[in-house]
Amino acid sequence: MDLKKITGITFPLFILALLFRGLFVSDAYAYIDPASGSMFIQVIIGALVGVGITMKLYWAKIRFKFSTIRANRSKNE
Amino acid sequence: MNNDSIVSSSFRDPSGYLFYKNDELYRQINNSYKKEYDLLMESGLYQTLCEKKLLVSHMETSISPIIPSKAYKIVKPEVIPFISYPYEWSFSQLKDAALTTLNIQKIALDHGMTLKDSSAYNIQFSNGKPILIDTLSFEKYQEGQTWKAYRQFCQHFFAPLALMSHKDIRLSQLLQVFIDGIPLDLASKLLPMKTKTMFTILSHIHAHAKSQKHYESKQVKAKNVKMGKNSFIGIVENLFSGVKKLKWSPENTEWANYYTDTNYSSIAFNHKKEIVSLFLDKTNPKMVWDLGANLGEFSRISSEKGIQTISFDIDPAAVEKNYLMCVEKNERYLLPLLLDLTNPSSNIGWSNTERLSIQKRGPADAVLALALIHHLAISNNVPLQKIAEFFKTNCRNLLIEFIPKDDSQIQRLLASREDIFDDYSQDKFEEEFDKFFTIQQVFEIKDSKRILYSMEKR
Repeated sequence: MDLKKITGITFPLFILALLFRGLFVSDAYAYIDPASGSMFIQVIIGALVGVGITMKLYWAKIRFKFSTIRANRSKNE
Repeated sequence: MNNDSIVSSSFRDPSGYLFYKNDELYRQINNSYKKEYDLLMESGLYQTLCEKKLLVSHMETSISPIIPSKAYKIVKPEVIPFISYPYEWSFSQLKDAALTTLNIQKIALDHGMTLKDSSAYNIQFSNGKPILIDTLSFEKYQEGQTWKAYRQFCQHFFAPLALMSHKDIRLSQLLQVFIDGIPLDLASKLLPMKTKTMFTILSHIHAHAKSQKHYESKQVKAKNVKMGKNSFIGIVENLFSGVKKLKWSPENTEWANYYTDTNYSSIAFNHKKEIVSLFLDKTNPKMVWDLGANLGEFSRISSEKGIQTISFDIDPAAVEKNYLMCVEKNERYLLPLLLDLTNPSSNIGWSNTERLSIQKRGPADAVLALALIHHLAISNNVPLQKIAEFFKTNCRNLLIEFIPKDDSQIQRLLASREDIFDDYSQDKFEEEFDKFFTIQQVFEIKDSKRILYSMEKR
């Protein structure tokens, strides 16, 4: 296993997956309704990756603010 | 094609139906989908997607509906020249179809809409590019909702691609067994251990499968599960980068060196090309199937004349290389597809009518069967009589190459086995094909022992 890859965002999910009683999937031959499980895992993954999207948006706003300040400053000079 | 009948695969979505009327394809949009359809058209989403060639365009018509009591509108969609299925696609074709689906989802969200399903069967190849053919796949995005098409996307696209990339390219064939995509618990079991260290595969397949198992017997109200818009965008973006990262390189294929490893001289090869071109000019087909096309060398003679050409081959690596060439050269008329002629795509799905066999999608106006017959007759023990019957049902015009037994390629096939093929001869070949075809012309390929027959179905 490449330990370098078990860093950053992979690690929390690894722990979350362990919380689902181990990483190994047992047999599912019987009828299942996978919709609920798909919804819940989506919320968990969404929470993790959504942080990145939110940070990206804020970072873009901060950069925009600084570029405006810089533009105003050079205008005044 | 049937008159005034609903298309056999159009029954799952109550939003509307595809139907034929006087051999023309139409789509009925039901009253239940009125709000979504109006939003699709008024939000600018339809126009944006059509401009980007990501969604089939349509025209509203006044033709009478197939089920009048439910009808809101009838539209006439742009026709897709040949319907293909995900189990017939190469790795990059499935990958491009997946990325197209996610791209559409991203654009839809910008217009306040979302994909309500993400079936791989909703994507087709038109003008060399993947395109969404289901106009009724959109619904209004509601703040806080999860992506309804998430599970289907993972089953139809992400799991097969991950399996093809990390385990074995042939696992795409599981899509033929599992009509709604590969079950995630199965994908999770088949994927190698190292994929559990990869965030996108760990989360969207392994943990996803585990979550499905965990909640299988629990009742949950969908409206109680909420997810912010940034999380929604995050899921789509994460899947996009996950799919993009998946790679597969065609290694040395069965036929990789076929063109350099034959007994063809350049004189013979060029003569064969001239004959193919002549045959196409004479028969003037609209649709050509090149069976056993390898990298599509001869298919391109057809597609470069502006003829819709399907380049079939059994080798996933050959189909992959052929497709990548199409993408690189922006070829509009050529579609490479995976097909095992000894076990071609059959009628599958509900009532065995949902996904059609190759035969049902034919016949082609013309078929090229070049350097193919010896693989069927010698490698697969198919008698010449059965080969002739097969072509009878699949084409109107045929250009077929007969390879005599003393050809080095046949000698190679016979090297490791007993020669039980007493009936494999030119006379027998002509006798069997003569039952169903009129032999129009016989060409002896220059600088070669091989013979090309141009035939027309009786």
